[in-house]
Order: sequence, then structure tokens, then C-alpha cells
Amino acid sequence: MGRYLSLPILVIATALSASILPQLVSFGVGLFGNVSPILNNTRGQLNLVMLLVLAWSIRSDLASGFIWALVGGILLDLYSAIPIGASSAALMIIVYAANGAARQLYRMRIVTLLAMTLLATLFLQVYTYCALLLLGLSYDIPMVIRLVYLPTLLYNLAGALPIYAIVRLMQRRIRANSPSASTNLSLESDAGTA
Amino acid sequence: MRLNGRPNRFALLMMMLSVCGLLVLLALAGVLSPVEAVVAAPLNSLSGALNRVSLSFNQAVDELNNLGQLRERISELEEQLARGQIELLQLREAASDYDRLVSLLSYTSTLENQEFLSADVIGVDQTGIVRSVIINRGTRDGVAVGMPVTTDLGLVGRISGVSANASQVQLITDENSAVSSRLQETRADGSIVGQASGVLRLTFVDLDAEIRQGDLVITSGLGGNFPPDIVVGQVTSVRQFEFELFQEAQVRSLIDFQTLELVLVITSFQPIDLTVFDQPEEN
Repeated sequence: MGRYLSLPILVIATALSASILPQLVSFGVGLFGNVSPILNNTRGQLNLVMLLVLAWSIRSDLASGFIWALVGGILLDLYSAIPIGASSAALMIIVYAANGAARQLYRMRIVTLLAMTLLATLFLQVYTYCALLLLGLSYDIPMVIRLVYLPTLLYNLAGALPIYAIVRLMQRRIRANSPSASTNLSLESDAGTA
Repeated sequence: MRLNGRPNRFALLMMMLSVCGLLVLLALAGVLSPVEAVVAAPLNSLSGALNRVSLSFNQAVDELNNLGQLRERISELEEQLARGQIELLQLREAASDYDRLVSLLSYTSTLENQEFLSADVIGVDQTGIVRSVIINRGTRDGVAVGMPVTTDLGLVGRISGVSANASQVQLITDENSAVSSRLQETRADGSIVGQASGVLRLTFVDLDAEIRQGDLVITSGLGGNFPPDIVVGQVTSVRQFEFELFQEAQVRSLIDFQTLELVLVITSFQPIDLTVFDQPEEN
């Protein structure tokens, strides 16, 4: 069930990322720009798709996480300069790492979640930059870091917790309504995320 | 994909990455372009709809945020507008005064050997019967009773009363006003008198004299009350009866006495009192 949910949820997330989020970010920068000068004149924004995929993969089986990563990556690439599939690969690596780390933990702590978000964001940014370089597109790294990457990192860290909470709630509902809830639960406990 | 009864996670990752790699290659080769277009169409529609909603919301929020500033700005602009309007009125008034003064100056320059004193009309007679105006020049300025008052368009009247800083001007349209005049073309003499209707009447013109419509009427200087050759008006109609001793004509002044604002007092002209010749000789 969760695998099929990935499509509508990630489609809506991508549409939101392309439309409302930049407006909200600029609105927020307008409101809080004086408080945090780092946000002034920046172009970064919350990477909603990546956060959803990350949050989903922490509490699900690996295959389901890969499906989310594939769909999310393709949708991201529809709105980016890099070819389709490239972001999916990066998200899959993130899913693999996050899922594997979550298997080792008894319970997910906020700090752990933030650390995962931090690492995932940095990895995706570096990966994207390299992909653009391979495509022959080069940008001024200090400027990109200051204007895009740092603000995106801040937004992702700020958005990680609420998105994780929403995704977890969604997963609980799905499990509760699933006829094979017990099977799923056993599988996911097998994944070490109970 | 299972290793020791568990899914081989790394093998799954490699398989998925291979799928991604294939997708990338196909995308770079341009094979996926039609698929991209099909997939992106609904996504673009959804994004467009959300974007419109978002923009509307942002605009509304912006307007709300700026409401206070806009109100302040409006009041500032209103204040500036009021100041600008006042300034504009003052400038228009100054320009109007300037135009009138230029006209008067060009008029005075045509009349040599005359000294003029400009004066503002500050009031009109309150009775409504006497046709006179009050000007802001008096004895302190050298104004005396009997001095002619003109504009560049012609004769206005004469000073009929004077105080220290104001004077009363009897207009030529007053019923008690009489100005010795003549027709500019035929040089026929007559007298311009005012009427209750405000129209001037040229009387005492010889029956033999020819009066034509449109002829200019000027002061003759006879009687010593006005200097000669000041325009009084223009003949609009002629009335001639054989049984009368003189013929008459209706004359229209070129001056609009209702909107008179600025006049010139001819201070160099001293009216001559001819009544001394009427007194009987002693002894």
C-alpha cells in the first residue's frame, strides 16, 4: 500500500516544491530576513521530496524505500537540468544508508534524524553539483554554497521533524488498515525499526 | 536476492542503481523525452494551479503587510497633493497676473508722456445701483479724484472718491458717467453715457455724421476730464431719427467689468476744472 502511495504523495510534494514552497520561502525570508541575514537574497528551499523519501525509508522496508526514491527522483528530475534517473540514484543511496542506519537503532532520536537529514542533504547537494559538472555546467562554488546549499540545509533541518512526524503517522494508519498488518509488522520489525 | 534467508540489500541497491543508470542513459539519448512530456503534463498543471493560488495568497499577504505603510503613504501623498494644488493655484494666479501686467505694460509703452499706477480691484460697490469699483491705491500713492482709470482694453472710468489707501472708480457704464468721445474714423464728436443695462450709449452725435457698426469710439479730450485717444468701445448699432437733433449709437466696451482685476490709474493727467469759466466776472 505504502509503495503505491508514493506516487500521489510525491507528485503533490513536487508540485508544492515547484509552486508554493518558493513563495513561502520568499515570504519567510521577507518576514525573518532581518533576524537571519544568511537568508537574505538566497535561492535555497526546502527539499520536500528528499525529506519525504528519507522519512519513509527510515520506517519502511528497503524495497518500499527504493520505490519512493525512484519515483521521487524521477519527479525531481522532471523539474531539474539533470537527466531523469540521476536523482533517483542519489536518493536510493540515501535510502540505503538511512534504512541501514535505522536498522541499528532501537529508537529514532531527534538528533539522529537531524544528523541523517544533514548528511542526506549534503550528499544530495554534492551529487547534484557533480552531475551538473558532468553535464558541462559549472557554478561558483562559494556562491552556490552561500546562496543555495546553506539555506537549503537550514530549511531541511527545520522541516525534517514535522515531515518525519507526518510520514510516521501515515505509516501507522496504513499498517492499521492493512489486512496483512501482522505480516508487515513482522517484516518491518525485521528491518529493525520497531 | 536473498542471502541466508534475508534480502541481499546491497544487491537490491545495485539492481536499482542499474535501473537508474539505464534511465539516465535513455534520458541522455533523448529516448525518454516523449515519456517525460506525458508525465510532466499533469504535474505541470498541478504546479500551475498551486502556483496561482500561492501567488494570490502572497499578494494578499503582501497587501496586508503593506496596509499600514500604504495608509501612511496615502496620507503623505494627499498632503503633498494639497500642497501642490495650493502651489499650482498660486502659480496660476501669478501667471495670470503676469499676463495682465505684460498686457498693461505693452499698453503703457504705447502711450508716451503718461504716467501710470497699477492697482488691484479689491471690491465693487455694494449698493448694486452705482457702477463702481474699489481699488487698492489712494492718496498715499498719489491718486486724486478725477484721474482716469484704464486697462489695455480701454477706458474703465475715473476716480470718484479717494482715501489714504483706496479709491473708488466710477465706471463708464454708470448712469451718471459721461465721457466726451469721438468716432475714430469719422472724428464725429459725441458723449458716452452709461445705462442701467450696463450698455454704453453714444449720444449728441450730429445727424450729419456717419456712424458705422464696428467703428471704434475713443475719448476726445473735450471737457478736460479724460485724456484724448483712449479706446472706449465699439459701435454695435446705430439709431437715427429725423425728428431728433442728434443721433445715437449703442457702444460695447471691450472690457468685461464683471471680471475686472487690474487697472491702471493715469496719474500724470490732471482733470481741468472748467467751471471757473462759468463763474460771472466780478465788477
